[in-house]
Amino acid sequence: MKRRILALVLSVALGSTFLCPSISARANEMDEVSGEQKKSLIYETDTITQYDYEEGFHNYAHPEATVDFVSELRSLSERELANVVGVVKDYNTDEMISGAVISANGDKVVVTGEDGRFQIKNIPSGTYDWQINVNEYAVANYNNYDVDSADGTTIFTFYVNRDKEVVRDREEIVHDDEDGQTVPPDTISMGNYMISANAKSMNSIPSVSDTVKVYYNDKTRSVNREEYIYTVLSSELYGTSYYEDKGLTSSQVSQLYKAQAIAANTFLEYAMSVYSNHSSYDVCSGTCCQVFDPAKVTEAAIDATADIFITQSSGKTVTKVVLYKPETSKYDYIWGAFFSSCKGNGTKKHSTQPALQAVSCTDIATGAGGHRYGLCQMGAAQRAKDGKTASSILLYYYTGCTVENCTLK
Amino acid sequence: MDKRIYSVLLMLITLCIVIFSSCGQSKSDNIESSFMNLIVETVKENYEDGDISISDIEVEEIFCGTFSQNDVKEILVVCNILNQPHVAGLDKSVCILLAADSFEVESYKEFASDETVIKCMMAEDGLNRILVSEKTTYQGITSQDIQLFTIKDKQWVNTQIEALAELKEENFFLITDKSIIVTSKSNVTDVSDIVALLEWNPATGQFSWK
Repeated sequence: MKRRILALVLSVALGSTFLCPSISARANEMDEVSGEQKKSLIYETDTITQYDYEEGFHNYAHPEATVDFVSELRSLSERELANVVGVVKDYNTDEMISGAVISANGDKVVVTGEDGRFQIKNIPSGTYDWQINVNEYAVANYNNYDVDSADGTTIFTFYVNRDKEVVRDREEIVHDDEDGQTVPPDTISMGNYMISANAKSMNSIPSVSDTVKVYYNDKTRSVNREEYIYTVLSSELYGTSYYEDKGLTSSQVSQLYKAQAIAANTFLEYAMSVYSNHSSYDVCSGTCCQVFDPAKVTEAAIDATADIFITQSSGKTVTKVVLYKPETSKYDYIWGAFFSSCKGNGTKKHSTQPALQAVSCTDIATGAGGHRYGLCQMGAAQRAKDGKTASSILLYYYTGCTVENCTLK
Repeated sequence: MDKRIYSVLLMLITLCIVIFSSCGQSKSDNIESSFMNLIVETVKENYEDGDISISDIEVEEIFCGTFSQNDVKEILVVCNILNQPHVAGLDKSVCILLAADSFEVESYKEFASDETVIKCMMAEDGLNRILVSEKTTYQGITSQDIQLFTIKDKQWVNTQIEALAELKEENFFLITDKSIIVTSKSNVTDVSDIVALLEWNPATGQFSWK
């Protein structure tokens, strides 16, 4: 069996190019966050603990639930081989599932340990169709999910359901609104729902909720805010190798990722505190809100998010949010809008959001377009390449604003 | 004796059928395989976003006809690029124009959006025009671009859809084989959402008001 797996991974390896430098260096964040914070996760989950994160996910699963291809693939360089970890969970109860057989592109690779975890070390970077088989459960298929060593460890959360097959395709996330899998159709049809929502003026920096109710895969799930942000970040931006190929250094990529993380956090706060299109949950997981696919997150996204969730020396935990500052000691929430690329047309002035003014913008590459309100992701990448910090990028696209530490409650 | 001759003949005929069918299959498979290799290699060589894995390239549609030169048969291959993040467009497409006789690559073009639709429209001058709709949604707000292309000297030339220039508001578009339905909403729920109907006019190679 192992030979077949080797053939499989080698065939993928031969089809890919592996010149993606590993993202290991962290940016000097002194201009962005005070020196009092420590680099750590604020919230642990059963998928990602502080220990896992600090250890670089090296010993994530029990040895019997770990497979290592390094001896078979010694001809490939370290940069070409990725570390994959993950868990298999019950769709209805969120319980960890042991004995789940994980297959990649049709070949059995590893079986989850008693804690529901698995680890695949030194698998060639590339795109795989993942299948999960467990006794008494319907098969689960997660298709077109890639792994890239440049993003650090890739962390998967695979759900299995006793009653029905789970089918997720990385390609189909945006179309969830059409098949009703994730976004209820009535919420999509409302369209420009943010236009009429007025901001709320405050005399002090607000505190923010640490828990997010997100609608994903036909269910509303409560996730911690940090987990929500690094999951969005993993879905919204390219992997780090894309930006490094465009000439950004790893610290510049880190600034770009952090800017996007704060923008996503700002949009989330607007949806939670000012106006949401949804009544029974805060955000959905499609393009109606922000793309949120917890099946796959990357270590690079976790790193960037950890920089905006800070434990201060006082023990207080805060997170960074962009606020509009109309006057001294006055704050308003802003609609943290962002989009792919302005295609040389610059951003647009919004009719009711004073923070969203028309600004000129140069895209680093042509992206998918979008509504042109707020942060242009391709323009932000160019600004990061020009040496701008995350704060500078954000305050360019969000006029009259400030990046503040909001206490998590 | 007769029975033996018949059975030998039957065996020979069966053998011939098996050999001929397998030969044909092999040739067909080879052509398909080399065609796919050509497509994959072309995308890998030209892809604007850097490295791409073979497994992320999927042929979505193939149009046969004339596109850049009269009376020259060409093939337009539309590939879907899988596994893209939202910033790249969740429905990214690549178009490759090939000469039908030699499979020589004549032109390459990428389109990025969350929902990309590509249609070919034949004009009376004998050349196909290519209509491309790109729709992208962020935070629930959808924007859509629609472009009509001709291919000249291996270049994709964006031809303005003159009838649309008369519409000042931002609109959305539904595309059928021969028409564009202009709407005021991205998701049409009522007839009143329809702003206009444009029909393909092969004589002018343009869309005109219905």
